[in-house]
Amino acid sequence: MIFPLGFFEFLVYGGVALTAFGAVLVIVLLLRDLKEGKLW
Amino acid sequence: MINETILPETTGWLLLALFSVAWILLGRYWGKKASGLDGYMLAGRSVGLALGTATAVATWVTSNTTMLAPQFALEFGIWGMLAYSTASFGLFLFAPMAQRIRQLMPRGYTSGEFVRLRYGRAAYLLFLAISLFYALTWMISMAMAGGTLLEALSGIRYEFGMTVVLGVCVMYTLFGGLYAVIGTDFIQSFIILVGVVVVAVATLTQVDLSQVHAHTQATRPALMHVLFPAAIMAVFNNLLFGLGEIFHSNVWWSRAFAMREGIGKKAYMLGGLLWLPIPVAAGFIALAAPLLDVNIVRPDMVGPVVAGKLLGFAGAIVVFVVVFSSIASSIDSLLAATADLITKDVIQQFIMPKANDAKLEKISSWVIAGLGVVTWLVCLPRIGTLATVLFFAGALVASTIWPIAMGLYSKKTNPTGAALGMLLGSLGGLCAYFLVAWYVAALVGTVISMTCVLVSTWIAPHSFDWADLNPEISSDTESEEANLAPQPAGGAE
Repeated sequence: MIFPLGFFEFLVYGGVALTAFGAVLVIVLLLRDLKEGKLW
Repeated sequence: MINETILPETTGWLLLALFSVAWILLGRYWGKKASGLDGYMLAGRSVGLALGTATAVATWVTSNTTMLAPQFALEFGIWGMLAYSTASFGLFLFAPMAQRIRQLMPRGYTSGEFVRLRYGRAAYLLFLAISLFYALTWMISMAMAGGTLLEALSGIRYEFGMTVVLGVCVMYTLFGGLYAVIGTDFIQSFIILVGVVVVAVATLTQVDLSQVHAHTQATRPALMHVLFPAAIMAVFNNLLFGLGEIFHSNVWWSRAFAMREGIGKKAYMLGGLLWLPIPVAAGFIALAAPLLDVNIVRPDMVGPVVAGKLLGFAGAIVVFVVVFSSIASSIDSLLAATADLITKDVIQQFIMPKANDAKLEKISSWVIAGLGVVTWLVCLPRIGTLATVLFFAGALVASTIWPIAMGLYSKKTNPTGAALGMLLGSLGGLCAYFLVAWYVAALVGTVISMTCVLVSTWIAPHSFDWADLNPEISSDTESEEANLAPQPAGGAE
């Protein structure tokens, strides 16, 4: 039984999208912590 | 050795110099905040969510994520990518533990300290041996990866590249302690996340996934097979290896102590979520390698070579920077956390029990420098592949999963059982590594250790007092109570 193409695509596109979301999220968190003075 | 390099050697040196200077200057800048032992070792115990999350991601994205994940995909196909992603479960499961660690030991420093207070001397010595062996193995594999990558991508000789990467990390960790490590980790995590996305998106614009799927299915069907036994074993092995690495390692414990109250759980959960997709995003390009006629001489270099081939000069630069950041973010964390472990659990416990905080801070800097020298000496002869070096430690760290988890949550956990679990689990796992295959070592180590811990606790349950984890606080409280107690009348004298 072979992994279907749809699953492979879901895995790859989903993985790339979630990684991009991560890059945005760390910046959002940084700005929030800076604003609230809670960086360190 | 790769036959052709993707970057000219001059560009490689230029990038290396640029980032080296940046990390050292930033390390010095953040290091100014480090005052006292808590500042140097634990960044003042006040790290916030953004830095906490980023440091979890950056530290866990090692060069093994960016180099071994494609190798896993090439050898085990889709299961290989999924197997590597399961390493994020360690971060998810450590999240509640980080909160508990902070609550149980508000003034704690190391994971070794916990094992000593919780289980006593025998388990402590075993734990220290496992922990130090693992930390050195990880650090050596990272430094070797640094040298290998620079050579493969730009032709910079292995010895020179490895020396620069290691030297830079030692310098900024030395200057700034955990402040420098966590501060640079933030920038490195951002570079890694953006870099992985850039390479992945560029690859997707040039390679059709349906072609990759069809070609792999036609030429190497096992890689696409749902029932690929060795790959499924690799999933469980990698999952347990990851749990063992995170649960026991002072790299993660020191961050739990360093994060502000209430931050650890959220930071580790978010860190796990952001780490989860990285092996897939970095690994899938390896499956495109056969379609592109890429000549793969070393399997652990498949990712960078494919990215360089697909994206040319810009791709090679991105890969270079991403892997350099991954390596630096792990080496600096290992240097700081291992130095803490050696300073607090070896030197203070066995050699200089009366050393004060100022003395310990000084010793810690010397230990960081010493670790750098030892790692450099071991890396110089360039022995073994990355996977072989790292997976050797899998059996050992997996045997610590149950002793650590049960020790944190159950008063009844038997100390002798915990020590036996680490000893027999390590030995059994190593036997499995040599007699069966590397991908069952962690599995066997975990099962043996679990059996020892559970059976011994069932037969002879212990009764541990959680207050014993804070001897200093307990003694302070006792002396305060003694001062507040009604004084005996002594006026007659």
